[in-house]
Amino acid sequence: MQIKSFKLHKQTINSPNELWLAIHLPLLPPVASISNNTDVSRVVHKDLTHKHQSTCNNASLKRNGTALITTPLIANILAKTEKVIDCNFESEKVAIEKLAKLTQSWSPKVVIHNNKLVLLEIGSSLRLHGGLTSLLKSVYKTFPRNSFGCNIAVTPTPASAILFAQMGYDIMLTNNLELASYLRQLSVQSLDLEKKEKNFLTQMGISQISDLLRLPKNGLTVRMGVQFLKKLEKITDKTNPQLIHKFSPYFEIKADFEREIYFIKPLLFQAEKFLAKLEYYLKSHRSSIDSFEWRLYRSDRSCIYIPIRLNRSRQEVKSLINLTKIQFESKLSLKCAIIQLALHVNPVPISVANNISFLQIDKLYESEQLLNRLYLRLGYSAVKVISCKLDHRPEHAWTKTKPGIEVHKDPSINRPLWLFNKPKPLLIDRRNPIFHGALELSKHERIVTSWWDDNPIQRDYYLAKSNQGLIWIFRELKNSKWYMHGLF
Amino acid sequence: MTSKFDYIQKNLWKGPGKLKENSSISTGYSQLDQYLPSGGWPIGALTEILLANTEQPPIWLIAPALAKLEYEKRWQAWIAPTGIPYAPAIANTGIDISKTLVIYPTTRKDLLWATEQTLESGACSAVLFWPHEILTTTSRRLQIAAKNGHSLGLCFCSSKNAKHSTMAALRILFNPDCQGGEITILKGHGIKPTRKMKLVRKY
Repeated sequence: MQIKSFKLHKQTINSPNELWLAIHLPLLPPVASISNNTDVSRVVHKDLTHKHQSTCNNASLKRNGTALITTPLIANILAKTEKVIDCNFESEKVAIEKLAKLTQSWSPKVVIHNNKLVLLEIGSSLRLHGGLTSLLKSVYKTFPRNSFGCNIAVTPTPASAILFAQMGYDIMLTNNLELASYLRQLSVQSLDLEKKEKNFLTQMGISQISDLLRLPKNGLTVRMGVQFLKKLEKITDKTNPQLIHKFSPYFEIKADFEREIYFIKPLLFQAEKFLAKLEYYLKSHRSSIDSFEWRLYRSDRSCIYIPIRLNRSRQEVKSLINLTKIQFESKLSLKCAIIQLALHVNPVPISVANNISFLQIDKLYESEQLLNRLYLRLGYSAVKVISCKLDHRPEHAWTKTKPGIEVHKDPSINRPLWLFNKPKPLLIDRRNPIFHGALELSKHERIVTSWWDDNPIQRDYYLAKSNQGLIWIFRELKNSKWYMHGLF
Repeated sequence: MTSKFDYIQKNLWKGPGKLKENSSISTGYSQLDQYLPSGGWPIGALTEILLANTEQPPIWLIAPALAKLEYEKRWQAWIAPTGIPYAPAIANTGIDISKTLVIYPTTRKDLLWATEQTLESGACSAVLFWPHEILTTTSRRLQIAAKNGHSLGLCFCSSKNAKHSTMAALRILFNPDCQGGEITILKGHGIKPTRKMKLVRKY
């Protein structure tokens, strides 16, 4: 069989046809299972539904990346000559998920297959990445051929991509005709079949898939069963039975500093880099954030948590460096050196309804930025908008609310523009109130209300003309004392 | 070459004379508009209103301009007000109270920081603040911030500071009376200082 190794052709595919990319990493499980203080691994032994699967970096087995050992006996024989390490499923899973997460920038449809293979649907992302060639260049940059025995196969069907990659071929087939011609040359032993089925096919003299495809479907179904036929069809079928992997949206990035940091400037430099990475992540995952947290680890291992809340969720986060600077300046004393900086974010998906690109982004952006800055430096309680409130008591007929939400507007003609924080007592001259001289009173209004709660009022309000302008004064009915309450 | 010359000619300050119309907003009092050098409150500049008592600011004097600026749909910030901008009456003047930010900084440093931020951001059409007193260096920064943000900066200061020089584009001394108030221009582009006028308030 002649299957050429993958070569980057100058071919660019812009059509949204389905195309699958399989990245097979056969040596990832042993590497993931080895702890840092273990000697170089030779064999990893694991029990998978009564089969003993060994992964080895031994030269003879490296050809296929993995070797399936069907009996415990052979595994034990190997164990005598080679070092056997129990497989660590958890660390394998974490490792493959980590690598799979990297692939999310190329496609939102990511499938993890048997903890050793990552499958991506790249057909729909080709235009975004400037064609297949440039996408594959970036894939090969992330997964070089010598890392974890990596094999990459691109085919129009998911099952065939898995098959080619697992067989250790780097291949790129972009249409079904090409795929069919290459598949025909494959050995039937490469198919995911039971041992009995493989033996039966050998007895029938069938060695290649092309021999198998020549047989009539009905006869094959009678002899081998429906499931066998389905397996065969799956290789050329575009139906995707795989479950798309859903990653945890949590974003975490950290950096250890070679030297202890005592100044904010280098921290901000690193923080700016992190925010740029976060923005790229959010854009590629169609997510946004409404808060994020900086964690600064000191040399004494204590941690400073700096959470930053935003007044709306956003995807453009590079500019949040200003908010970070404000927080760092206000919360860091830096008496103790910083040795690690980490950014923790929990992004949320953006809904299409929230797309506001047709609005005046600049104005909105400026106002959001301003509010965020004010919140961070002064606190949320220090930045408010005024609102009316339905209450007869003048001091309770207004309230402070969060900016940006709908406020109650109940305009009133007979009220002053300016109210004093507390009513100011007025001096009395011959039973009449005075304020920089005598007052000319008009527009009497009696407010007697709220006898049912803790703040009842019984007042006679007047509009008074004074030398200092028009003022709003009242007389307490309880004790006949005069107060100035506001300024018109 | 010609265009460069035209540009210089247009933008050269020629001493006495009024600023461009779009660089000011009418005060709502025609008498005052004629009196002020820019034909109204200067936009993109700092205006100082000096008062004997900063706890009794003449909101009626600035409310018509604030209501006119409402069409810009930008915020209007009131920073460290010495009293309560009373929402029912403010709403009655035509000012959009949902766009009226009230900011309460705890320190003077924060007050000046918030003022500079709001003036410079471009998100506020007007910024009213009560610093009690304002120094030359501070006023220079705020004047530049107002220019950058194209905002109307209104500073309510004590009249005790009238003798100190500041970089505000317009400085007026306001003395209230039973009909309105007496306004004295202490500083303004293209006018002689210490001009006085009596403004009768509309009721």
